[in-house]
Amino acid sequence: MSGPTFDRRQIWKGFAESVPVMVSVFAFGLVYGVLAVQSGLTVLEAFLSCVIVLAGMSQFASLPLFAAGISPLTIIGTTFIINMRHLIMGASIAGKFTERGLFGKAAASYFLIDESFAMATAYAEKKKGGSVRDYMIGSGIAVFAAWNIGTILGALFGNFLGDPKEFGLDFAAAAAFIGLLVPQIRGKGDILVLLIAAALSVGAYLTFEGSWYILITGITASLAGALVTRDEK
Amino acid sequence: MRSEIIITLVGMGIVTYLTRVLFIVGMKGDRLPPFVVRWLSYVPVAVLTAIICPMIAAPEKHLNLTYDNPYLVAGILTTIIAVATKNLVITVIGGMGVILLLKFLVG
Repeated sequence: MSGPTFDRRQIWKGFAESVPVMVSVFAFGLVYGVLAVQSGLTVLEAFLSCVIVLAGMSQFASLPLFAAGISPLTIIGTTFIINMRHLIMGASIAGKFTERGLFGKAAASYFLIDESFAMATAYAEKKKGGSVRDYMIGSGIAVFAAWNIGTILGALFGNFLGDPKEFGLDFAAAAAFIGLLVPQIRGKGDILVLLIAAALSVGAYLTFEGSWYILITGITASLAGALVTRDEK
Repeated sequence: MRSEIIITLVGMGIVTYLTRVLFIVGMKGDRLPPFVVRWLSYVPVAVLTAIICPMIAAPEKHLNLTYDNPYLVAGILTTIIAVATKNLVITVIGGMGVILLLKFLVG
């Protein structure tokens, strides 16, 4: 058979070692599923978003925009900004791949997720010699499975809950974002970016129509942070 | 299933895949400039803050930084829960508990 060959043992190893990660991804998926149907997506659409996008943070960010009926272009643009961090991850992990095949790299790219990136990077640092690419694919499959199962169960459960406001679910999205943001604050630079983004986003939100304030703030506050700080990470 | 949602999801999927595949296929041993790495590393914090702050500081589309604003009070209390637990599920459930309590108390 022609085409790229994947090392099944490495894929299985990546999968098996990612089982602990699956627990938190599954819980994360449950929350996403509930919020997705409360934001107006159907169970099927919530499931499809996981298969097509497979990037939790941006999927979360899209929910208030879907709920508000924001234009597709704004949602897609916001998704791109949030997922630009994959560029750094891709540049970093690509240096650890030994295979050259284009198709294999393109397939592995689909599984470049925060969690699988972290697992594959840790594996590469052990220098055991196995394929980092296939290890990441295995880890990505584990994350993919946990994320989808969590989302479907969450979405089915969310359908049973009635009016979002009665259960405080209108605030649940804000709480979820706070829960995602807090672990990202690791240094002075992050606090600075947070403060700039807080002032800028509220100002832009009150000034402009629509949801451009997220894009505007996402680009400028991070740029301001990068200009003011030096490397700390 | 609505076509506009599906088109949006496909668009989201395409731009997301591009962010993944570009440097995995395109990089040949060279590295990104440190400034760009730093900039991109700050993007998630900037975007998440930009989503949260208007939601809690101006829930009715005008600035309300008083204790009469349950979303602001709940936002601060939820942040404390998040810092203490670093756990998403506990943070969401705790946040919902706080907002329900506030709405019940304030009426």
